[in-house]
Amino acid sequence: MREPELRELDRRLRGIAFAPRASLGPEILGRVRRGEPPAGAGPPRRRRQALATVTAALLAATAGAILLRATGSVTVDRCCYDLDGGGDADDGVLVLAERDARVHHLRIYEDIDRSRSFTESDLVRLDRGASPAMHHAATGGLVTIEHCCVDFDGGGPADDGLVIIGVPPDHVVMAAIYERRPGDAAGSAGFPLR
Amino acid sequence: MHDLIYEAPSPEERLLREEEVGRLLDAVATLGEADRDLIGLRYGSGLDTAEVAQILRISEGGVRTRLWRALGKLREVLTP
Repeated sequence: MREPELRELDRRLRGIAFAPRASLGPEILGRVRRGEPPAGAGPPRRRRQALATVTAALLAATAGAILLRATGSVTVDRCCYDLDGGGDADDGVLVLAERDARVHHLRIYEDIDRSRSFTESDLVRLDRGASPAMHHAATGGLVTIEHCCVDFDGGGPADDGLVIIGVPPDHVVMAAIYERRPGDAAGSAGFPLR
Repeated sequence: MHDLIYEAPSPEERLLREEEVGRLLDAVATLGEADRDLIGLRYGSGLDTAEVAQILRISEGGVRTRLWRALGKLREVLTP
């Protein structure tokens, strides 16, 4: 297998940002609790030391969980807007990002319990990782909805836009944020999506 | 705050994109469980090599080696 082919495959996979199977996190946690080392694991004396970091990292492998980083990360929860095209301003966006920089996790949710923030009882419309990508197939009726300008990445200034592609009234296919600078034209065109 | 609503990319562009994604995900589904987990962690969760290594309790080099092999298998599946 030629290396350029594999690098191209790596690039394509990075662009998809699909979710790992939901049972993966609990499954790996169960292996750790039962003391079952995966093939090629390090020596037993390292297990206890690794448990804390493994447990923390598992959160990111579980669908709906959020990766928590030690420093420089911020969680921003903004509610409520009409993000799914349903007509009601009852949707929120939860962003885990390095402050004013890379987005690690982005969730669009419907604020079912009217708490104006994400809770377990809310309905998750979309969960994505670090890369914006189309998450679900859609046969037609796609619209793009933009909201600007809010501090979505914890950077401080309200200079971030949110762009969502979906099928109203309740189907969200893609979501990304972008950062505008003073004097820039309206809309996400030309801005790198994060 | 202002809202803009306009047409998404052309149906042809969307179809091509969805087709490519579908082919890749179908190919991933044919791999063994260990390879699927590795690809899911690396690409699905936005984890870097060091974080995947912590979860699987193998070295970062081990992650890279396994990932490379998994990509090789994936490439074989995708090659007509």
